[in-house]
Amino acid sequence: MKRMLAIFRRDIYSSTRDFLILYMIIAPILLTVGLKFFIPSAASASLQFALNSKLGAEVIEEFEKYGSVELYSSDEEIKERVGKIDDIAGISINDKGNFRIILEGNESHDTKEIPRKIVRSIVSGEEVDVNYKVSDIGIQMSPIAWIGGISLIITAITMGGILIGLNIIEEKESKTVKALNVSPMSRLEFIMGKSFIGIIIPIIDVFAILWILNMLDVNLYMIAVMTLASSIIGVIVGFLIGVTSPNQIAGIANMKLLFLLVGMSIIGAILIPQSQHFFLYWVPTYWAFMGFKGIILKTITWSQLGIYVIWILGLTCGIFLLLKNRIRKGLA
Amino acid sequence: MLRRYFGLVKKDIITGFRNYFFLAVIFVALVFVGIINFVIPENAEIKPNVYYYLEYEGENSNILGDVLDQSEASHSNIHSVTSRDEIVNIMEENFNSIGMVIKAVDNKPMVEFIMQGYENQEVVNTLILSMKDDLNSRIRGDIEIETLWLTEESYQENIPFNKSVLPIFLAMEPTMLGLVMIAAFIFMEKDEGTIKAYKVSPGKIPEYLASKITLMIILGWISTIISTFLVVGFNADYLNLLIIVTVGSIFASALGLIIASFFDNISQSMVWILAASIIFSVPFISYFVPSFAPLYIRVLPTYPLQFAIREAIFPSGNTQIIYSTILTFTILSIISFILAVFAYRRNLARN
Repeated sequence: MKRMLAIFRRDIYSSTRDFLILYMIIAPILLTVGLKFFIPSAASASLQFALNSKLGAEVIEEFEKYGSVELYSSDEEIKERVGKIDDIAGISINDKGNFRIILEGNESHDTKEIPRKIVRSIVSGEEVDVNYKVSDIGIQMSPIAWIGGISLIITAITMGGILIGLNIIEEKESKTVKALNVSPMSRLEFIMGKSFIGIIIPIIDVFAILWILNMLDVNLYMIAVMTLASSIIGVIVGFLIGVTSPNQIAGIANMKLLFLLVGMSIIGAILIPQSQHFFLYWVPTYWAFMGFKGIILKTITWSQLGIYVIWILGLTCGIFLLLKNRIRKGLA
Repeated sequence: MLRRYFGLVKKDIITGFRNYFFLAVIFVALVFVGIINFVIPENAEIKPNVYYYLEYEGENSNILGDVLDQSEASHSNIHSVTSRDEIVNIMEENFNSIGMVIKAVDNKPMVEFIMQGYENQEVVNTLILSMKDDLNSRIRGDIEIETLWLTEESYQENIPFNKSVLPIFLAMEPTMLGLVMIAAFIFMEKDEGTIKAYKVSPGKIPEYLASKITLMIILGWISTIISTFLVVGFNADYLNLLIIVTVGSIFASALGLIIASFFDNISQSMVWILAASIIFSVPFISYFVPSFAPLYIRVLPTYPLQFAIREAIFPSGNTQIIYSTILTFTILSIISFILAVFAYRRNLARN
């Protein structure tokens, strides 16, 4: 234990000396602050219309019900605006005083169709007598907020792993691993000592991220359990990068592959229908994503969380056992 | 000067080869091709799924039924279910979905839209408008509204969903490759003392950096050609695509060099390079939701880049965007390269 703490202290010392720990903690926090500013604009996102101001206040007011309106004084200005990269529909009047829609041609379905529907609702009356009512199932949190928050949490966890990986490569390059091999320290002690940093950074970051995003009203014990379990993924992956990469370049190349896998599991969990999620069961970060999603949206029970944690621990143990010899050789 | 540059490029290619750079890039491209061609469904939708239950059986029920049947037939995201509870259950499982129940209230049809709760008022208004318009059009027939097309109406929205992901991959991987990889290269040479040896040789800093950037461009080309060819075959505008990837690579690599110049080792710089790559991925949201393009997204260089790459892969005749993006990136590349040279001159002088 003393030796493990010594390794941990040494890692902390060498990382604080060059501000690395500070960077690792601050970077996800800064990105979270960015996300916080981003959420309101994403939540209010709607269609865009470029209107000729000659259309009059009533028409402008009607269009404002369905999206954001920009006003222009001539058709030429509208055409210039419509021609820009983003999707915006131009609405003006022709010589006969009828509505005219100006489109670039490559807009999405809604940007092409909705202005037509709005114009039709203005020019013609209602034909079918139907009442309308709107209700909701009570989910107030925008998906951008929870998906963004969880992605940053997983980024923070992965960063802990990367730090371990780069640390090991550095030790290999400066030959300290060899020196440690002839010391009384066992390999397990070395591994445990190195792992502390990959567990502590995620815990600090995860709580900071949740605090910034005003999500601390969730079950914090569940968050702590999930963060601990997930940071083991980061630790194992960090070790794998560290021992399999002969130098830092190879470490970075491996890290890119790792990010691809992590990114895929998150995007897959969001886009693929629930019934096909079994394609992703083998990626530990999929379970981390699902766990944090359940906790933040308050839909998860302790027993479900337990199952997710077992999946994460089982998969990471499996990876560890599978590559045990590789790790041993890499550290030799 | 040219001879020295080509000598350096040759050396960097060999170093890259020995460190499995080429293998890693080809592997990542093949993995992505596999994902695009076999994992992502062709008809996936970013738009929410709509689940409806038609309970109403009174007057006009045939009109309502027809409109809903027609919508279900022409849109893959509209599905009929058998109760309101079923709708709520599905919606709790799938955050990107909404529900609709049509029943009789006071002998009149009442359409209830069930939302998740986070949607804004404009979205709700648009849904009601769409339903009203579909019902009215069914009775009175369609009213044509004059439309002026600035270019030909194109069908980029008809690109299968899986293939439409390719431009995002090309913007992220081959083009932005240098941002991450070049720093690793520089720090390795720093540790090995190559830079010190180079400093006392007649070689100049611009040649040294240009050679590193050239390797990133070559890797970018390999990744671009493999992935594009295996996804769309010969149909893309390869010349413009490779020009975009080239200028994009120069900018990204020079930026990677500038960021790396502030730090002493790879671990420190990697935190900020990764943060920069996350920021550069934000415009990908606008790629899928093109009407969402606030100023802070439009100013990021990856915003025009992804659309220019899409235009090169799936040409719609809007070549303007390709040329303006190439011009923007050429200017950005020149500026960032000059800054990178200054940064490394300062660093070497300091050491």
